[in-house]
Amino acid sequence: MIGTIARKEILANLLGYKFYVVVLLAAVLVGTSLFIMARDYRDRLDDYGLIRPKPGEPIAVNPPNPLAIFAKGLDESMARSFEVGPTGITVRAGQKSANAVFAFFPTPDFLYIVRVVLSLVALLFGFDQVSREREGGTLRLMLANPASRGAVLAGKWLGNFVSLAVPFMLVSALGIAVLSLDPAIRFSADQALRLALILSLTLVYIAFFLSLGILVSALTRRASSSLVILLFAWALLVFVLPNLGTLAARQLVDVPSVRALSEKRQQVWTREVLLRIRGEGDWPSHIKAISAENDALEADYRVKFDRLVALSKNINRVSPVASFVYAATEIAGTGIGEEGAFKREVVRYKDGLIDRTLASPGPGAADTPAFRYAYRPLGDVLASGALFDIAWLAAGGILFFALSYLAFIRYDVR
Amino acid sequence: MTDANPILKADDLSKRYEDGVLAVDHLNLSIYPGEVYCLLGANGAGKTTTINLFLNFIPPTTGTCFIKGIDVTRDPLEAKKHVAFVSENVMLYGNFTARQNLDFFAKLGGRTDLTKNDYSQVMRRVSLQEKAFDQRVKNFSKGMRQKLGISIAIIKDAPAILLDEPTSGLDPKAATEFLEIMAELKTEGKAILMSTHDIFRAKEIGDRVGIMKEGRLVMERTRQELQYEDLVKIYIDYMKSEPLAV
Amino acid sequence: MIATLVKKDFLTNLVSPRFTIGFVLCLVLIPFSILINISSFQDRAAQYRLDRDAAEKAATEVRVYSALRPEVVLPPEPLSVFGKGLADQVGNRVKVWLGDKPLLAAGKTAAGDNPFLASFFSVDFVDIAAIVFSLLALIFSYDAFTREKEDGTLKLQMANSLSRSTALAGKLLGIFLTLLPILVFSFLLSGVLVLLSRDVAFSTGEWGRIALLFALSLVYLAVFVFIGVLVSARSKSSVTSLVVCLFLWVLLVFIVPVVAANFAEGFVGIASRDNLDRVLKDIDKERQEEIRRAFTAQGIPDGWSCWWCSSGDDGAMEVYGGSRSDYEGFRRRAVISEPIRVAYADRRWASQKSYVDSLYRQADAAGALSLLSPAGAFRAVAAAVCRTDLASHARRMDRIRQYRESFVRWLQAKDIFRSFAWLTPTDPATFMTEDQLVEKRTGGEFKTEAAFETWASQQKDRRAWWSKLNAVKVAGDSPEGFPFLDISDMPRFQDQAGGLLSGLESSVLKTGLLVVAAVFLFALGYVAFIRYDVR
Repeated sequence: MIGTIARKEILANLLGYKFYVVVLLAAVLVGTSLFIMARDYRDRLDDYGLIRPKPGEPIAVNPPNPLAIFAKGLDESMARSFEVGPTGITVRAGQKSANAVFAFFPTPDFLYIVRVVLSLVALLFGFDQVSREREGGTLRLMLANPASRGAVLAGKWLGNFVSLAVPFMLVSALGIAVLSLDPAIRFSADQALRLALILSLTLVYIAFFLSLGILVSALTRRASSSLVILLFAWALLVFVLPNLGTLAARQLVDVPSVRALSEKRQQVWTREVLLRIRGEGDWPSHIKAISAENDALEADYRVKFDRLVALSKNINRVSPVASFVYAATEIAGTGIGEEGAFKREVVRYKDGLIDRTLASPGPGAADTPAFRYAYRPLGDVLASGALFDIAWLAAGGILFFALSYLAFIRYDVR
Repeated sequence: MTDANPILKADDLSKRYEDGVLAVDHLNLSIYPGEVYCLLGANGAGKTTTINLFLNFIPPTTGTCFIKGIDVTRDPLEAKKHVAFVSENVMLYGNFTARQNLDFFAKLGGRTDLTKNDYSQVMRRVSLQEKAFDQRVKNFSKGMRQKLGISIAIIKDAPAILLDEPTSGLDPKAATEFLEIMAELKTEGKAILMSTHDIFRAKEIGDRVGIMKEGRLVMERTRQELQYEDLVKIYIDYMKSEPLAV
Repeated sequence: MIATLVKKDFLTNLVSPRFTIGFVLCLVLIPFSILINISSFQDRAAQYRLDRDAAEKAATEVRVYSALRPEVVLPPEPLSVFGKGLADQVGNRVKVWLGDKPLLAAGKTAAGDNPFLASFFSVDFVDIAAIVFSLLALIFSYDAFTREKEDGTLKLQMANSLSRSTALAGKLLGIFLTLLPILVFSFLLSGVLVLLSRDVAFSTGEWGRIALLFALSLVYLAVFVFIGVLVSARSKSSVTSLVVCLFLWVLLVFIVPVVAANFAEGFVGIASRDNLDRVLKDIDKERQEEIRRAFTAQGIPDGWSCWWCSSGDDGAMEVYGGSRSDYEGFRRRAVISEPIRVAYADRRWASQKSYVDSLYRQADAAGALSLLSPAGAFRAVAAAVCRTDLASHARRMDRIRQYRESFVRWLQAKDIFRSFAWLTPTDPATFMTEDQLVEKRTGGEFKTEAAFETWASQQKDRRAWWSKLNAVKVAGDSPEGFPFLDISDMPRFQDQAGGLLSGLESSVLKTGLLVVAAVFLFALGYVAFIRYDVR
């Protein structure tokens, strides 16, 4: 029974406009997005080639992440070059010196397309499921048969999910295949796995919005009312709620500004220098003191910053869309957690450098090992929040489906 | 005509809506195989509500509906295996062809073993034009859609058929064709309950005719009895008479 | 006739759920964004006051001209409460250097350094207006004709002596009349919030600009109303119309501006910052070389010694307690090196200018491409009206560069590089020779420097030297006791806000584009309705 209904839905979508909407939108948007982001990646890779540290230079640089093509996240921040030394860490200009002078618009990466457009398309598939069939009289015809309301709803959900997911995945797969023709863009096995995981996450995202669409459809009598309500819900879920936390948290948690931090660092440096001039202690101990105190300042800042981030993330999670973005960026290795781990690694590199310099002073710079950042393994990524986000998104979808079942049971089909 | 058990049975059926309106008032109906029962009445008399109660679209306030002896509220899925439904004014799936619509509802009704030929046959039976078989339904006229609706009911091959205003808006030719099909189905032994405004057709096809007024079955006549009485006069008389006391 | 139609539509809309939802949405979002931006403005204003005072202190508490480097601190733009534009991304502090023309402002806000805090796009009144007003316009116009057709009331209306033009006009006026309260309410509410805030104060000119923003919003709204009506007049059912309108909305508001901006980024490249830094480093090396050669030509030795001196960036040098020949040596160096330094600022600027121009070029290309969408045009003009667009920033930077010129000219007019005041507040009349200094410092123990040197070379411990030379404190051998410079005649940076319409030249063109689009869409809608099947 569910199968019959699902098949009918798929056929109806193929014969109607909805299927073409998905294919067209997916082809155009995914194609454009991959094109733009691939070029962005290639440019950054070229720049990386130029600013790579020569052996012995105490510079920490991380090559751009190919998965950033799909989820840019904070990859640009992780791809800056950091000059490490006794005085601390200096951030140099980025690889692709992004035009800081304008950034009105977000990056159209795959994540953006899915987050903004695919959600709307999923709502489009769901919004008239119940109301339209009621208006057309076919709902009565269906229910005059041995098909339970649950089966009808499940069949509709399944049929529409397949109608959405299959074309979108095919188009995306095609896009990825074309992408991999580019010799400059190489995915390791781990990255390919992560990409597959991100695509699966997209499916969960689609399911969430489809369920929401069907829910509202089962609550309204007219298809057009349903769409208007869903539009406002979409605006709320995709744009407003995920920002709420960020903006609210900034009011609630006090984080020292970066300028205050650098001023403090300056004070530490000056103080130690003055002590040295006065002849107290030897240079290495001063360097160690500076480094230790800078690390303490940085750690303190990080603690406050992490608290801000955690609070704002949790408030943002009211909308599972935020969860989707968090999970996707963390899996891609361009998320907030990864950026934090990266910065910690840079600090560790600096400390190692200082220790080495102090142990064997004098020009022995050739011994400085190059900086290499190893991305957190997938298991760690999932454990530190990504799995929760995925589950939260899935739970939202399941909840909406359950609610739509309850609504449909009481739906007046006449 | 009289068989052991009625296929469609309404037992002291009542329905009062949330807003207080009593749509069906202690209705008792029994429809036997090979019988066409026409339910007449004004708008709002309770005919459509009765059909909705049989299909478990709404729960009854009191009383029970039985299809082939199965209580439709207790075991709706089982009950619906034995009844086919022709709804008034159904748009069907506009982007599907006639055949595709038929195929879907046939499968839904449990007939999964049918061939393309079977579909063509049943569509021919209802006098649907050959070239319309594979055309999209959204281009059909009302008459064509009605025929398709009937073919959907026929292909289910259920012992009972419920029809809600099946001839409304049909031109005389189509209406006559419809009556011929009803006669055929009657001889096949189906129990048919048809709600309608159309006194003349009701008189032609109905083995029994019942008049509903304000939810109550106020009059019932057999075909024989109607040969001697003027149904039109009876109907109009009842319509004009005082509202029934509650 | 029209009045009847308009009244009917207005009343129908007023009681419809979409009006309530739209109203509530604006009621929630607008104050939300204004308050957030007011709070952020308060932060920036507080930071501005600290920075300004610190800059003033740093500039005025100098004792020598060579350490004088005024810093321009720009106040936050009050209108950024409505339209943030680039306010969060460009800095507000520019230090005036001799050897360098100002390139980009420093002091980006915390958001600039913590990308997380800006990772989702932050929301201001202009953003919300661009998204919500267009959505509302479409929500009220998508079923302008399709709903009445479906309900059968269109037939009834047209069965009267009602021309199609009148019907269309009535419908449009009804829609506008419904949307106007929401628009007015949003602006009024925002205005009230600004009035009530203690930290944000608008001048009349700024309120005038808000009025311009209101007019702009009306045009923007009109464009989308006409789009909705056009789609409605070409659709057979309300649902079709709504779906099409929806997709146009997503396309025009979210996709086109973003893709356009990013395409521009791809096709109009910018110069590499690292490259620029490399080039500038080379230029600096050349400058050092030229200075060194000039020194050699003049017979100035390489190193220098001093009793108390502090050197800083950009050739700053502050000297105390030197001998006459010490001071003279520094002066001779300054006379040669500083003009070269100032001249090289122009050389550096040549490279810097092409870098900055490449940034502007790319931004302009992105801006031009985003005009393909009404939302892009709206945002661009709104940013210009709120003085937070790129052009305003560029103009300001130009004015700061001009200020630097006037500062440098002021120094040159004083012929300051030749003066000892460049290096030390010590009165040249009190300069002493080395021998005199040694004698004074050692309390007469050594009469000549040579004598001291002889003794010193025999000492193992350097610290003994210092103790001898510190036996007597000589006046003027440290900054203490010297007053700060009197810089009352130093030119100061004046920031002019400009008139009501200043900086809006290109916006007129863009707004004109919107108006043309609106008229065009109206015409199309008119033609479509004339041929609309009302049955």
